[in-house]
Amino acid sequence: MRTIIWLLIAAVGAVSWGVLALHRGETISAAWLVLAAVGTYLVGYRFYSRFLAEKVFELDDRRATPAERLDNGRDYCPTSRWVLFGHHFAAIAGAGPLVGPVLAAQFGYLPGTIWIVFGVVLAGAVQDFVILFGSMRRDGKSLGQMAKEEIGPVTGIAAMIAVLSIMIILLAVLALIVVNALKGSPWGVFTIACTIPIAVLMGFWMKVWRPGRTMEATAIGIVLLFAALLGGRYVAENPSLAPWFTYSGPALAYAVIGYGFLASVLPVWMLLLPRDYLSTFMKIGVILLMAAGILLVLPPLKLPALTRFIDGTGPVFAGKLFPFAFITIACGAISGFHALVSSGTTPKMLRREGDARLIGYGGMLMESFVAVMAMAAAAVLDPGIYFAINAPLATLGGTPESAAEVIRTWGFTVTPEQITGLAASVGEATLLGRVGGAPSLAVGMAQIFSHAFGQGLIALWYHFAIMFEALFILTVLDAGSRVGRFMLQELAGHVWAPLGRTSWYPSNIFASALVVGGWGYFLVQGVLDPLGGINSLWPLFGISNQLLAAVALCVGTTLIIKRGKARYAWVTIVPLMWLLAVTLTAGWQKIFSPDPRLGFLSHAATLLTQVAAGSLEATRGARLIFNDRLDALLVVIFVTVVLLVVLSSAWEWLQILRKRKPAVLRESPFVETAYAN
Amino acid sequence: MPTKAAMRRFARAVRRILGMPDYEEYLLHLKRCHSSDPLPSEREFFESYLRSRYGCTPSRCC
Repeated sequence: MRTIIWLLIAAVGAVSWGVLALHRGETISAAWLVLAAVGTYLVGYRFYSRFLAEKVFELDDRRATPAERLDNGRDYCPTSRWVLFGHHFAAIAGAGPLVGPVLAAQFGYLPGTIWIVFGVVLAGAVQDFVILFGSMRRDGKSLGQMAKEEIGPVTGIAAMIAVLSIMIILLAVLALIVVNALKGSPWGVFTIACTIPIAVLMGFWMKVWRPGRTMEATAIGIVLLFAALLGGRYVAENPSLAPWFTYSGPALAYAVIGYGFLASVLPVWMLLLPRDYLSTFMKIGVILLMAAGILLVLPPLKLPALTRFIDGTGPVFAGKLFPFAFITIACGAISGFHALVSSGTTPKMLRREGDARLIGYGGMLMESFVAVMAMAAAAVLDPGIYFAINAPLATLGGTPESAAEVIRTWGFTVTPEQITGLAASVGEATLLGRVGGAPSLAVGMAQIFSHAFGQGLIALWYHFAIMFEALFILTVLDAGSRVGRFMLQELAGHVWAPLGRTSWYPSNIFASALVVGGWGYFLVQGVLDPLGGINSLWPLFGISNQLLAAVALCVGTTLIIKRGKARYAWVTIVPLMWLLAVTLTAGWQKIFSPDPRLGFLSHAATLLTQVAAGSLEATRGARLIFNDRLDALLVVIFVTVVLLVVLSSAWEWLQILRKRKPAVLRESPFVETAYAN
Repeated sequence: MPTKAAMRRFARAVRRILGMPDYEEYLLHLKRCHSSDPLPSEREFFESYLRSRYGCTPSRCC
């Protein structure tokens, strides 16, 4: 009976993939996308994750977990598996899986979807699972500590530098997405500005007036948040108020930088903690709402399965399908950042070893499903509209007429009236050239929501989606700046001890300014970039995130080999090889490609000739050229750090396999669980 | 009608998922394992939670 059910699930998945792949030239229902994804997840979870759990990791429910042995009623705390699933999912899901697929939709929905679904089953979920497993066996140690102890000190420091530099780029890209979504939008700016006093109010509630009452404060915060959303409409429609909340890109960029600095030096309870609660709540709520909307409406996919831009001439970002589809979609398929979460709070809360399978592997499948939904939300847009929102303003020209004309030459039809009509219907002055993915995702979500839960509220849904994205991106910005500050202080502490003291105010301000200044620099660079910034910064982020995943997979492979399971080491080595192929190719092309749209250095050379010919002003040209070279240098640093980690790991593996070195596993010793199983 | 115990379980689950402190849970733990120690006030507990939550490792993803 069971066999028949599994055969049926596999068959449904396979047929859905067939439908997705073979339909050309007509719209098909998003149901096929959902069925193909879910069928593949179920088969992957049932068979592959079980193989990993039983054969490779040998999870043992008789072995007491850190949560049981070190239970302190707080961070180490046995938690039931579904609650922990929610906790882990809330920690790994973010803007990444929502934005990446929307950008990669320029190739059509099919390539991205294949990578999201098969990438997660064979690579992303394996990475999360192996790191969670390793950390669980080591009392919840972090990725960096595991790299240091199991591979070597050089690898440990390299991993730390990788994390810090990835963080800087990540924060810059995320901030850029928010700025692009909010520029010239009084409704959005008002709503997001309101979240700051709301958070401070919640902070005082929890800390001063009603200490510890976090649930009360969060409930109040949520009510106020919705009031701010409605208030935004009033502000946007009021001609005397609207100008107060209408800002250009650069002005918003400096405001975000100032905010990030404040959030990093202020006490956490005042800003960071309340925003963290609000954004986590909103995140889970909106993702559930989005799933319900897509399943209720099952909207038709209007974007083609494949577009002509697989040849690398796409307007959203430069580069061919290989490797750039796999760089652009980082988080939904595999995300190095998850290795930090999987070796953070989650391993300290596992009640039983066996739960690691549902939480590590299953949690990542869920994240991948979020990415599939984001892809569906982008694919419900008319292709013409999709490109009107996502192509840079410099390519489209400034007006709806010019944009419609440019998009027509790409083979998609859209009228100027459609472009202006859509902007008016969501309560914005214009949607043209709003690069970054968030606005087009919000339009897609608003269309799905208004179909599912009532027509006519489309403007409200749009701003609801924008608020949700901006809220949790800004929270990542707060938290990330703070973590970056701690890491920098730890590194700086090696140079001069007082700098390492995280409670010493001068050191705080110094390190905060460095971190915020770091991402702030790239943010301003992106805002002033004539091509919109996402073009150059998103691939940098993708490359760095995938390279961090490569570091995590190296650690995972080391753990597997040291456990004497070298014959199964392919489970992490195969994804590692793929990631290296993708990121090294992309890195090479971003630096050396002769196409100035793609290669940083050839772009700099083009600018140089423009300056020489007098068509580009010299100081502006010098700044753009410097930025190109800086971006190229950054790629060189990423690639060098990761090659260092990979080579030092491979050396360690060879030594162990040739028995030149004993395989010393630094797991905590076995203690029998006191729980009845 | 959900019972009081069910409501409490639900609230506890929400707290865990959002990463909120759980004072009641902590008191239970202290009574179970360190019954002789003095119990912290809710305010003291919240302070120590704040200190331990935002340490050196990121707890949220992109």
